[in-house]
Amino acid sequence: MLVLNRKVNESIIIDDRIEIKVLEIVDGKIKIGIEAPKDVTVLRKEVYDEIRNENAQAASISLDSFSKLKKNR
Amino acid sequence: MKIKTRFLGEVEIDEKMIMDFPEGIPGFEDSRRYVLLDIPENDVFRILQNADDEHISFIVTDPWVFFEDYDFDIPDEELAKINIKKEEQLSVMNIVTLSDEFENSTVNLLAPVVVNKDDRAGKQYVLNSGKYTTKHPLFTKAEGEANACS
Repeated sequence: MLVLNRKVNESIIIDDRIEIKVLEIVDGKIKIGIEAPKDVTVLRKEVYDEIRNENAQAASISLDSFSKLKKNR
Repeated sequence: MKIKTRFLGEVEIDEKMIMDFPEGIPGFEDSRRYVLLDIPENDVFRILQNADDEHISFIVTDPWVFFEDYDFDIPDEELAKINIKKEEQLSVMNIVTLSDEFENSTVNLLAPVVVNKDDRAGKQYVLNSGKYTTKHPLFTKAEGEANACS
């Protein structure tokens, strides 16, 4: 992982088109501003992880659960 | 062509029915080709089956069957990733997590699967919304019981 030091109001630029700026640091919370083209998906990592976990769970349901589905039409 | 499926065994499909998910589905990013299969004797749920890996298989449903008021916005740029230019091309389904007790099953309203019906391309889009979660109960308690008896 690349590690950079930034102060408030300093930014980094990724791939000439995505700017990530440190806006504010209060009580250990860092407010970050992201400027990116609209086709770039920006998500909080925990939300993305939650979707991945839910998908993994949805894909591992038992055959037994599926057979109940057929009866519960 | 014939494909192997997790829930229905070997199934004959029309190759033209295969949908491309250019970004995969979160958690299954390397698997791009999916097909929608009907479930015998059930018209509320369908199966989103990976065409290349029988183990990757999701139960999906039309969200508005269960949640009339479900609504969300998707930026045009996201729809452009699957070549959607007008709303009529768009089809929406949501992934269901079946529970061993059917009435406890949930549906992921936070991340609808959107499909371009014409081009047969799709993606799972994560909503930027605090309104929905990955686990909405499909039934209220009473409904679930009524359903199980019918």
